[in-house]
Amino acid sequence: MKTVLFWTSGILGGAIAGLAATVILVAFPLRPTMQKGPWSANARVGSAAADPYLRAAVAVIGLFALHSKESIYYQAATDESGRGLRAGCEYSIAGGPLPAQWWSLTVYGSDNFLIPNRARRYSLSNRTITYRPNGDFKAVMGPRSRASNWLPTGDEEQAVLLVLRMYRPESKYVRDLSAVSLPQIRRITCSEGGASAEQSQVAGR
Amino acid sequence: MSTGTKNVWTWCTVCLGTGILVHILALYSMPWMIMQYALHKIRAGVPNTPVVNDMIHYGVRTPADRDVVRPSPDLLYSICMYDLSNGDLLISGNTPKQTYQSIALYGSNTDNYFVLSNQDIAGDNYSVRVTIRERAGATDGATAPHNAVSPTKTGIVLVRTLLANEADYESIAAVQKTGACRIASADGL
Repeated sequence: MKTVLFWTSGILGGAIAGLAATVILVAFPLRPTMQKGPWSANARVGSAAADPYLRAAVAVIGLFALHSKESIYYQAATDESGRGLRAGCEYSIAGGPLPAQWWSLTVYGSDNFLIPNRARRYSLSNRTITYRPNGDFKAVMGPRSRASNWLPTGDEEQAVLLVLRMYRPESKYVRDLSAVSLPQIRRITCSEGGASAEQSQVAGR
Repeated sequence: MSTGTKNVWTWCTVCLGTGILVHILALYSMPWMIMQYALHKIRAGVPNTPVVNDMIHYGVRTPADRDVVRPSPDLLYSICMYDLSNGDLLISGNTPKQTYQSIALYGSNTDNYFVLSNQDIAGDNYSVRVTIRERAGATDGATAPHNAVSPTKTGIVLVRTLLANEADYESIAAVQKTGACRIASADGL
């Protein structure tokens, strides 16, 4: 009886520790190979160069990702100040033309799925966004409806994630993901209070 | 060394060894298991269709779609689960004009080992032959403009077709639905 207990406890303890280590190590956000402001990306996503941890993490949060020659996936979970993106807040997303055949900005809920909203709009892309005369764009992400360039975050308060997909990026950016001029994400206002100075600027556009 | 100390060391060794083994097994099998689970959910939404070597076409992804995380709402997806046990796979379809389309192949470990996009395609249709390492180089009479060697016997074909504007849905979906996959027959494509 003692021997059975001895071996069973050793094997069971090891198995639990092994599984726990796997979950903990894979649950960490994708270890980026590039971080620029709030945006991060990993050049090895989807490729044979991915290590087992990255491969497992991609399977959990980005199954069927393409390798970076075909598509670069940038993600932002915070604004420029490092504050977590919230569905109840409004953010301006401002940038210039991005070097890809097409690109899109998509917002996801904390469960990594699209967020239900009355406008049934889940993304903005270079084909749907309205550019300013100088070629730049400014969009607003938040719960309140806007006439154009609006990325809705729905009615439910939750952490949100912004994903920028750049399909068929120019090759020099595949080699250096941080060379891309990425859109800036600035908080305009928050339902929890604390409107920023930028609110008046965006409201006038 | 006393018997008690010896037992403690033995227990720790068993525990550590099992832990490392389970960790490695879980780590390497996780992508495969997650992919199988996602495909099971995808297939559950399209009953009465062959499980493998058949292309299934999907409409615009919405919040109601909960099978694969972080879907792109701008793309129309077509999926073919393949099994190369009985021959090479032939993938074919029409390419839409002036919009992005890609044909991506994934091994069962989720690695994206091949991509063909509309910028690589001459003409208005695509054709890809997928084989396995053991058969690479051998032919059964069938040829295709593009060839890929799958690292695993089973895998996934994922065709992405960009729907830039909702107004174009009918025409883009019609092109998307020309996509097909099947096992090559001995008499060619």
